[in-house]
Amino acid sequence: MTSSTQSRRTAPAAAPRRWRVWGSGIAMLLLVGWGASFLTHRAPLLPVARPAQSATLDPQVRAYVEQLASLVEADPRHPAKRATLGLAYAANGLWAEARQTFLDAARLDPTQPLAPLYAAVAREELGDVAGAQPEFRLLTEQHPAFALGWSRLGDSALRTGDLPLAETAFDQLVRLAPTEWRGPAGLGEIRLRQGQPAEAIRWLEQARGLDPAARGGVYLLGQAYRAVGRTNEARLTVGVGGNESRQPMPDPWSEQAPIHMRRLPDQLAQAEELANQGRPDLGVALLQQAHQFHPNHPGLTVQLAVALNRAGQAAQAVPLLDRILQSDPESIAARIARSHALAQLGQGQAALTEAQAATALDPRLAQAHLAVANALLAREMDQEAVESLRTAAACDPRNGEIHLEIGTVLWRNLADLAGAHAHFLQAVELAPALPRATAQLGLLQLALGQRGAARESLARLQVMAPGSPEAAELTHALKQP
Amino acid sequence: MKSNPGHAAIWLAVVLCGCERPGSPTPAASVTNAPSTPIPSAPRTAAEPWFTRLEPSSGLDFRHSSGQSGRFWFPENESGGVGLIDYDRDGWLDVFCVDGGALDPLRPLPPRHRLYRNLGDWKFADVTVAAGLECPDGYGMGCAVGDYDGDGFADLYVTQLGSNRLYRNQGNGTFADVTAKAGVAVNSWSTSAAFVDYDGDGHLDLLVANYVRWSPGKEQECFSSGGRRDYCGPKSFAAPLPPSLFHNRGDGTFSDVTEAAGLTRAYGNGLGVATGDFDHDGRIDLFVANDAMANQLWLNQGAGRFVDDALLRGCGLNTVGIPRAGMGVVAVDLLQRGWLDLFVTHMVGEGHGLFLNQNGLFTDSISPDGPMMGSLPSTGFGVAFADFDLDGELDLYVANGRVRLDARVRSESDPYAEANTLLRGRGQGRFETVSPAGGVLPEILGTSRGMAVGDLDRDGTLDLVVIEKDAPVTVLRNRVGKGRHWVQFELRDRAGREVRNAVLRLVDDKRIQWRQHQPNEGYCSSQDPRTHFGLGTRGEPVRLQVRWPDGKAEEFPSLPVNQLHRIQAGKGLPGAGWFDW
Repeated sequence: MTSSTQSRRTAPAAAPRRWRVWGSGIAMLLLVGWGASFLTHRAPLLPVARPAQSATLDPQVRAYVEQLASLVEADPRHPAKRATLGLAYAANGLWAEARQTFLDAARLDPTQPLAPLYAAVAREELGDVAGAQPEFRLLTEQHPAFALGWSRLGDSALRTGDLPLAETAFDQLVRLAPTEWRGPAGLGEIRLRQGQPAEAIRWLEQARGLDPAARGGVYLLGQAYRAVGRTNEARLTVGVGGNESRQPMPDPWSEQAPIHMRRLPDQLAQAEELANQGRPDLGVALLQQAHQFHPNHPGLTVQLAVALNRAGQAAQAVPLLDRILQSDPESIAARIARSHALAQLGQGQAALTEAQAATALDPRLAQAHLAVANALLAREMDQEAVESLRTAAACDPRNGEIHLEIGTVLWRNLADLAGAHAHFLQAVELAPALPRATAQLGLLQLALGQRGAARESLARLQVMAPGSPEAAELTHALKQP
Repeated sequence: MKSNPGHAAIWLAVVLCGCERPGSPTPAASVTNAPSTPIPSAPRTAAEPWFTRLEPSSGLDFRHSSGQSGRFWFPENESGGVGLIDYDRDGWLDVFCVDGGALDPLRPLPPRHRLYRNLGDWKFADVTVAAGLECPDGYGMGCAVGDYDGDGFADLYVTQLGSNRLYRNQGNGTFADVTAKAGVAVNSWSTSAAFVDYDGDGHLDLLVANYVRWSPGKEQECFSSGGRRDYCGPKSFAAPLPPSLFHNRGDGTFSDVTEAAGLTRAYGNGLGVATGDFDHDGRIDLFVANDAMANQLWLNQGAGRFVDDALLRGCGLNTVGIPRAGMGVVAVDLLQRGWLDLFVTHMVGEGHGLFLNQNGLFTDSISPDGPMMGSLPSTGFGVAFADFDLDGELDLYVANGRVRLDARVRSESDPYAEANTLLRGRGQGRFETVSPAGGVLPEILGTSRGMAVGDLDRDGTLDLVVIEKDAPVTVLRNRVGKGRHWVQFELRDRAGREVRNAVLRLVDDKRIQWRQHQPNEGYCSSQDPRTHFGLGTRGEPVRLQVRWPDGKAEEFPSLPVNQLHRIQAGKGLPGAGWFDW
């Protein structure tokens, strides 16, 4: 448009050609400048949502969100920064602030579907599921190729019992994301609720095929098996699939959420997860950072010591625990953690004494007896360790992992295969979704010459954890003559 | 801005494009993702409030105290139950309110449980001291009413953090604390309890839900949104407790059969209990609603043994296998066809759960007009299905109150406060919201916990008593059922003892209604010991068919309406075919 306007302009006949060129150039620059200015400033200048009760927030959360809010205030038209602040609010449970911030981010960049998606999610989290549903619906109308929108709309419709809407949503999800298990799982759940279990099984088996580790779909499959009378399969499947937490379809933002978590319970859980993933050092770093904000928090201090133990840094854990025990000699958690630290440092007798002190403080606490067992094992007092483990199991009779530990000691240290077998069976019964229990049972069954039973264990393992190291180990063992 | 004409032109263009002025706050209503179509609202009954509040001058002046210390000790968040008990057998339901107390070891206060004698005409008198019900210690949670010794006088079991209490009604207006002699102290953290004759020997046994192994030393710092200090949930303690099952020996003592019965094989953070023959095998089963863990359905195998089959039968977890925060629970035949469903109240965002029973297998049923409708924003505790408007359909009342802070604050004085919920039954499991919320104006805005339904004024309509944490008790007098017909039943076995878990089938020419007789359900509370039916405008005599717990069926034909009938086993006509199990 600019060039055509220029071409229609009638230049004065006496004007030298170079001035015409210069004039055109200046005009172009001005227009480009205006255009850039328009692009920069066309987004509305929105205020930054801040927590209403900032003074009552956890100091680490407060410091973090204030830092991000300041960044947004410095660049208020930047949609990505606004969205990051929204994620930080959401990751710390500040859903009202998160919703406003996501709405603002959506206004700053109307082409980005994740911002309105998260605004609706925040509305759900604020308890207004019915109010969020039309927002998901609108999002799918505005972004019909946005699979996440359909997934959330389907979930929302299932929560409110709107099966026709859920079916539309999951149909779309299947079409847009054919490798996503939540599509067929959603359709399977709809069929199940409609009393069509055979059809539900078809969808749910498809979902399991797409992601065998997706336990929510597996639980539904168990319910469908049950409804058609396939009771044995149902019993195994619901046991494996149950007790899962809610896992919405992941997206680039949800994957970032953990890095914004600053609440203590979340950070403790993250540290635990990192340790379970073989990165206890990262867990230690996380908790050390939190400790700077909560230097006198006994629970955090003990957990930091536990993380240090798991990271092989027991020498650093002991002084932390000493400090706790100076102010609270009856802190059982500190005594247990100190016992583990001392055992790791090769001070077996001191570890045992500390663990016994913990059991004296609460004779019914399984963890205290586990600490005694740990100290005894460190001193190679295996039979005595088994007794302590049995006491722990009596204190916590639902804990399958303790039976797994007893079985392991009986088998590996004391060559009591029959005794180990009984405990492994109990571990599997109590913890049907624990692959290690089933794998150990299978390996022991092989050692006892029970190849058929071992194959059954492998079949079970392949249902609960296909492709897992445990399944691979048992498969390999079964291939041996 | 004025110094830059370029900007002015651009902003003009922006305005012409219909965008907002820069710098203006975002109005909540003009969001970019506002709904394109009006949100369909749930069916709503708007009429006069169904209830009126009882004035404080009635004499029922109980005020619950959690003893909250500012340290956010977990038990403070769960306390508060109520029991309806005609302790003096004068025909008027008396009210027993369960207090918390104070947990602070520096300032310990025993719970101030209170028994109010119903004097009639909506007047009550505090008879706690005269009745010998002052509790010396413990921290109160709830209660269950039942005649465990079969002497015709209702006894009282009080659950606590610390020693529970069994108060034997001595028949002269006083109670004796027989906890030690009876052997039912538990000394843990007990919540809901139910008297139930699980072995059919005619003596009421006792099921007690236990929650979390707690002591002040195990308390942790917990935080809610934004890391604000708040109460912990049960997961923070990771110390669930098995329920307790006590077998009534028939001599005034009980034996703890929890382990022998198998109830230690699976357990969670127990808050609610419900009982009934869920699989139609003729034996009474037990259900325990757990907080943040899978529920247990203990199927009675006979010979005092139970097996948990909740997961397989579909009532352990929600539809996709996630445990919810089970609080109160009732066993109710919602579809009126002879099978007991389970309705469990849950936390905000979870929605209440209706486990529909289909031949002994349950489905976590969610429908837009089901009893869970509208429950997602609330945290439910006390719960009861009852025919408040006497139209022949079960209505639903849920006592709500948060356990965690969140962004929506409904009451400046109580950040945990929520409105209660009242749904009108439309039959076949369908409901509609009743306005005003909770059926009363001004609405009850509190942290409600236990709740009991009963006919307090003997007018045939059902009234309500709601315990709110750290607030005066709320008594709601029914005004919606006036002018309609009803009938009530008191059930006795051949020896004249109280009967539990009998199934009642009431037939008139318009409909068949089913009820199970079991007042010990809901949350930490005990309901009207009589079974109530609304009959609408129909005033003709009705036919009652009863399936007694021993499996025998009897019919009691032509019972006049608008009265309470005492129904005794062996006094009816033998019958068959109504209860095909």
